[in-house]
Amino acid sequence: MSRGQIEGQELDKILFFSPANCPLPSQLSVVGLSEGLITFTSSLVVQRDIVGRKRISNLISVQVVEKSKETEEALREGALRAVLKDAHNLFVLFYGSLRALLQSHPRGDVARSCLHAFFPDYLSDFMTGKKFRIPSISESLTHRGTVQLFSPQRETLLEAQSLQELLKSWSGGGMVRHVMILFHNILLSSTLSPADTTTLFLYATLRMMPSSLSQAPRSRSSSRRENPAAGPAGLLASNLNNALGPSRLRNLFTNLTTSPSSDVVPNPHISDAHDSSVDDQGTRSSVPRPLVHEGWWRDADNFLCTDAWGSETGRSKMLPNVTLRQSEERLNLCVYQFRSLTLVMLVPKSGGSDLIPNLQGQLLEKAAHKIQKLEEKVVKEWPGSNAWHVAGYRYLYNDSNNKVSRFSPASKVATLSLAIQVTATIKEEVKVPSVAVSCFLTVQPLFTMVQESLAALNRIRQEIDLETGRSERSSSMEDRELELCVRTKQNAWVIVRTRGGLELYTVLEKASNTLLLACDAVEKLSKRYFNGSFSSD
Amino acid sequence: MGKYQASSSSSSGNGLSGLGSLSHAYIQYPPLRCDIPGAAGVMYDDGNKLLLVPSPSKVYSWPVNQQPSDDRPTITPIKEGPVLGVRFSLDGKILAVQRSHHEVEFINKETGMVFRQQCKPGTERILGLFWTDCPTCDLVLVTSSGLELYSLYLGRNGLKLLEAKRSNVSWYVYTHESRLVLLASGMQCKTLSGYQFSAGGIVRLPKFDVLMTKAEVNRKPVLAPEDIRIATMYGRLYCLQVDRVAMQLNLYRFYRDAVVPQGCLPIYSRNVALSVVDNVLLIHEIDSKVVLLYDILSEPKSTISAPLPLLLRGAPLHGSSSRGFETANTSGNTSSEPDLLGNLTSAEDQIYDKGWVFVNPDIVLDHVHGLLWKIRLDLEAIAASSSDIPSLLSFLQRRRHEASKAKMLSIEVIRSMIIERQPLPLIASAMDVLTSSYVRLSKPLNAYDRTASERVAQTVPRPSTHHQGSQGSQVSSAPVRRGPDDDVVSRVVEGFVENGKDVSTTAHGDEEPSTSRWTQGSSDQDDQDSDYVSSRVDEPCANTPAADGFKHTNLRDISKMPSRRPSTGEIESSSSTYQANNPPMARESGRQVRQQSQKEISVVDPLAAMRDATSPLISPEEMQQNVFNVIEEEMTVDSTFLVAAILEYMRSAASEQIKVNSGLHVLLIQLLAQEQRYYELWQLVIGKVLPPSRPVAIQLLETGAQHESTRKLGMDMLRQIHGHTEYIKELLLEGRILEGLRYVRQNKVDSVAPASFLEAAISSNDPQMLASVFRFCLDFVPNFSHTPDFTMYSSIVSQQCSTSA
Repeated sequence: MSRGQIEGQELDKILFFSPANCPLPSQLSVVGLSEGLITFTSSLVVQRDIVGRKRISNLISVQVVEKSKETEEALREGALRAVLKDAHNLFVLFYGSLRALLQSHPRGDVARSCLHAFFPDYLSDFMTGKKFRIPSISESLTHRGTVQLFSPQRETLLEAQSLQELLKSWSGGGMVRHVMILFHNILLSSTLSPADTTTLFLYATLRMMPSSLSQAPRSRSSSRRENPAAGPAGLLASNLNNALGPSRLRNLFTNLTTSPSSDVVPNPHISDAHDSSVDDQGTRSSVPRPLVHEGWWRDADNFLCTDAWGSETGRSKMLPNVTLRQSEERLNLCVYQFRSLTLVMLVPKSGGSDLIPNLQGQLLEKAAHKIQKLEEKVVKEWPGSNAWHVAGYRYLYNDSNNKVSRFSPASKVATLSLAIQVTATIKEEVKVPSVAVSCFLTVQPLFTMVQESLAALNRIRQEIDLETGRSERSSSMEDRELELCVRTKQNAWVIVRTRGGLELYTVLEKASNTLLLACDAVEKLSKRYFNGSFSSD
Repeated sequence: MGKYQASSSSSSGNGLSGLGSLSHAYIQYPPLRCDIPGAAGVMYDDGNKLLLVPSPSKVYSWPVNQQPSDDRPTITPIKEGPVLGVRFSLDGKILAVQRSHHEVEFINKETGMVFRQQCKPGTERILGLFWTDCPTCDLVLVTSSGLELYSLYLGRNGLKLLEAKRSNVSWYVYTHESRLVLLASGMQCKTLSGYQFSAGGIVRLPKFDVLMTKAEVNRKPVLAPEDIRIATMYGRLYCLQVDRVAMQLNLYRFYRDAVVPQGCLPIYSRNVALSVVDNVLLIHEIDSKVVLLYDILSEPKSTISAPLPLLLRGAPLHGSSSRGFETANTSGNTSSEPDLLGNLTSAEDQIYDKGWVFVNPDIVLDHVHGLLWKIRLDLEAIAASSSDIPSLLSFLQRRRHEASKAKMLSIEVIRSMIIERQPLPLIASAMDVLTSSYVRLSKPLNAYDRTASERVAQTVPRPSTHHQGSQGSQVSSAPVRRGPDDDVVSRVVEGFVENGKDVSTTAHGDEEPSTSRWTQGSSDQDDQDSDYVSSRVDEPCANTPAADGFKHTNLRDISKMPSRRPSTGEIESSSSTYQANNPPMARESGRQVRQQSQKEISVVDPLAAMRDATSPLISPEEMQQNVFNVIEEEMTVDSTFLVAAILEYMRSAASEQIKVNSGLHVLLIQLLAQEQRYYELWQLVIGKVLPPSRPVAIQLLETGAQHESTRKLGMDMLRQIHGHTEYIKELLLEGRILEGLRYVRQNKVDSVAPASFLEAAISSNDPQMLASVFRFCLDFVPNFSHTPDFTMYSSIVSQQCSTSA
């Protein structure tokens, strides 16, 4: 299916463009460029990504990020791509696939309204003030698109499992299809597939954490009226204009003809959710805005409620729909939150109207006690926000098979080298009477040091991304093992080990370390904390 | 639950009475018969578990525990004369015959020697006597003026008075099971004082008054011996008192220095009888002819099941339908034992007949027909009729007499719960019952058991030494008395928290109730640090489990005797002098005494029980094999639910720190893989819910054939647990030969033959690889160049190299 291929209808290609106040000719030229690049690359046998342009080739839509030259070296293609992947996953989670949307509504109005409801909210997370914050080296020790998993003691985990099974067993099973349990923003247990877990986890951590909940239910109808209505040709939400301003970043969704496999069955699920918008041509849209800020609040009974999906009167507890990627099932999302414990349950839509109240009643009656017990146990066992800090290391562990990562806490990433520097400086400046002064003096150089080693790490990750991407494409089944030790300008060590889908990035800032010592240190880390998965045997 | 029903009716054998009518307690045909013409009555000697029938010149005795009962009695000739009571000494050598209220005659069965013992004529009367295995005396005579403790002097054919404990006694109750004698005194006979003649010594219990409701304002009721019963349940000693006016049964529990009321149970008929069968209290409501079953450890104290009649089972009658006990059948007595049948029929007709005497704990003597019945529980029927499954399971787990049946039933119950897809919380609590009773009885190291084992240490040596000298034959309890007999001491550990609160007290004014609830653990602690003088009720370290017993083993019972040592402050009988008064238990004596005294008065050791192979406990292995595997094989439940049940069991086991065997883990992996729940499986492995073990790793590898990252999980686990051989085998299968070599070198593995690497290298068709492996072997395998492998593979290497070149 291709759109806008006929001269004069080029605007049809554009489903969403950010910033919206970009002149149409520039929009079109960006689209044209992207289109050209994609056509060009698809004609090559080995597809390669073009530096500076990101695309998700299996989509009918393409997103282009134009970035500033000056920060170029701090950017990592993989991180940027992950931002888009996240966006795409979330979009599919709530609206179904874009392709299906376009197929069921060829005019593109539904797709446009969905995109316009979704992206501004999503992008606003990246806004700091008026500036768009793109993933930079400060995030090089994190990995998007993964979950952080906390494994409490066996007994507690069994409690969690038992709770999960209890929920799933109600009414002869099937009443609750899937359960995901989070503690703060950390995953405790999930019955979903890794991909769906990741997406739902991302959403829960973005919008359902106690800190991001709205304080009280309130009428949001007025704010929803401002919902960017899907105009025929990329008319844009005014709030988005204001928000992004003349940013250097542009997001563009456009339909291109890259994938010839257009015989996808239209997604039947989406139609019921968006009927109203179709009928009204988007003038009075009730397109859900899942990512709207403070879209959720906690009711007195500890269930989370939202009005982001539209608040038809009389249905106070409307449950949002989500689409699972693996099974393409469309399920209702029901969330229960007890203090720091969040229970995300996916309930089939077909259960009848009394299913949800029934479920909620059962949960309050039979499981609330269990949940409370579990929460208390986990709180007791949770070592705190620095749980994953390993003294002397700054690391990132990434398991791409199960989409799990673990990394040094951000605060430690900075303070570790601060500490080193401070001691070093104090040695040098013994005469300085005030410690405070010396600290003050050292902060500046220190910062650059962090920058330096992280930047080095970032570059190495870039290489690794390319490497793994290549090996994925070449589909060589063999277990790739890789070890890379780099000594940076500031005498830090950046050591990378990958093995069978697992990656471990470490930054060691002990200048005195020799290569051997540094490798030993990583070996120790691997044995002690990662079951020896990276041990070089 | 229908299925238990079925099995229960079949188990009642050929019994006519089983069909159609339910009962939870029954008496099993055939009874022990003792038709002796001219007999003076039927007596039961609970110390030896003998049925005794004295006739004017002989005493016939039948061992009660023999199955099947031997109809030929042992005969001990005695002189003619009146017989008020008979009792054999505990070693069976001496028979004591109470001839009158003033005289007891002793007959040495081996030598035929006879000697007598008399009390002061006129002033006192002999109320009875019993033999003991307490170290300080052999025989106790109960007279109207107190207790007289004697030891035997066989050489001189006489008794030596060691001590007398003076007090006025109206009547007494003794059971050998508890070694406890209760002496009633006072106008109303309601003041009871007790002594325990345990293997550890003599313990004096505080006096206490039982509560009696007045029927009329001006008339004071008098307590009758029939209304008092000593009962041993779960190793705890209770005094049960029937209050016919208030229509209730009062329970008192004995501690070393306190007697604590434990509430009461309702009775529904003025005429009741009590039995204890396998630690279950049976209240026979004679008037309404039904039995109520109570398990004192279940909370709240309510009947285990609905009141049902006592039935006769297994009688060889046909055609009769069981119409309950009352009319069981009078017809059809033409079977092969005509002489018995008449007897039986009438006996059957007369369940709860006037001739029936209920003897401790579970014996019924039928004086009219000369029969001895044993009451039994029908566990199947109880299981079938119980709807509260967790409490049913905990009931079953406490059964000791028919442990294997209880175990079988427990397994069946839990299995059918899963098959019937009962709600998970219910299954969870059922599993909790199983695991908690398992852990209590099988982990000797935890807190309570420590004290228990200490006690055992004290006890065990005793039995062997017990009374060498004591031989006296003794009088048996008089036929009319109800009480005394006993046998099994059994005890079960219960985590049961008791409410010690209304510890109202007892004759000793100085104790004051501890109001706290206690558990075993805490009581144990008390043992440790009770520094203050026992101004509190001592909580005995109660709950040690004990298992116990089979009533069939006398020796064993004896050996289980409480080994509690007497507190040092207590008065021990000095040789022949007796002290008339017992100073109140030397409370002031040292800490040790207090520690001792804080123990419960009870009998038995727990550990023996646990090791009892026939306990109803269900180990994780049995759970897996008899429950989960069976369900899985029968495919009666979808695997989702089975997974949930297994996880529930693992949770329950983990909370009790029971180690689950890896077989169950393997089963869980298989089930999860069937449902493609690989991500959950991964979480379980990462979270160590499935702890690393070889079988788990191998199962993961097997499962991993369909799922790559599960396979990796298995490999990681193998490496983690140093499963070198398997790990290298897998590496070679994957063609990761060099990695395998590195692993071998790193971990100093020598269990893998170099040839397997060389073979793998050859099959990789890579000459370079082969050369590398060969080189590795040369360099790192000691003496490789002298092995046949070397010559064989060096030629292959050179051959391959030449061809590739």
